[in-house]
Amino acid sequence: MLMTRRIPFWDMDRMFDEMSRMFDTFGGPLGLRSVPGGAFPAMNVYDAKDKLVVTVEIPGVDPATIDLSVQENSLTLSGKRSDTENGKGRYYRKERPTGEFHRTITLNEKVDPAGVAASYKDGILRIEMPKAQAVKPRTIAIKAE
Amino acid sequence: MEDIEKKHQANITRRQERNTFLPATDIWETPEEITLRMDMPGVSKENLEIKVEGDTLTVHGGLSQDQPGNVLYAEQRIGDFHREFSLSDDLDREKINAALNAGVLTLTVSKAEKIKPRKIQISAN
Repeated sequence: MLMTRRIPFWDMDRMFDEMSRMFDTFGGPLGLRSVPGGAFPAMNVYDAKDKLVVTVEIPGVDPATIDLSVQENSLTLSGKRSDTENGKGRYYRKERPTGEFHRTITLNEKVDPAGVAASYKDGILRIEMPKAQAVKPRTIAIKAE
Repeated sequence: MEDIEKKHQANITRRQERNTFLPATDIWETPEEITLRMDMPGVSKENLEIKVEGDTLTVHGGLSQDQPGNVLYAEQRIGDFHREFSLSDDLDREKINAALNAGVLTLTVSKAEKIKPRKIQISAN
């Protein structure tokens, strides 16, 4: 074949990315960022008054294949991200993580596993877990005598 | 006129204030085209901007910064996705297809006709 092979893309911000990765370690909302660019999939945990909300960045996965289980105080997520195009052409860059993943996180408050709801949109899995009854703050009305 | 300039300036400053980071990208080539596949979780069609200016292909995906509650633990990066690529002359700028599916953007760029492999018919006499 007479065609000359040329790398058709030049990545201009490679260096900036390296830098942003470095700085990202400091940038979290609470200065809290234990796994910078490391673990897949990346998770956030929020406290939303009567429930805990977990968001997971997990693009390009069929939600039916994600295995999610919630215990009283832990959440386990496993699944596989397959690379359907693999072997189809000549790769210049392969940065997207593929393969099996498995993550367990400990929740800092007890939740009710029966009331868990999960949804998947734009590559983000969102899990809402109602806090266990005993943990919910109750206001106790004081009766005047 | 001044207003437009001001607006433009404001736009630039706003862009710079937002933290941006690179989406993880796979790039592969077949004889007909080049495909770029990017992970952009949380980016919807409405917040995605793809531009070709001269030799530069720019992809910008805006992320909503809404948080469902107080942050207890965070691994996800805050800001927008942004990445630029240079297109070589071998690629056809007019033939770029984009598809966004479950937070994954797939861009296919056709190669220019002149460099596509051709089959040459041999006519028998």
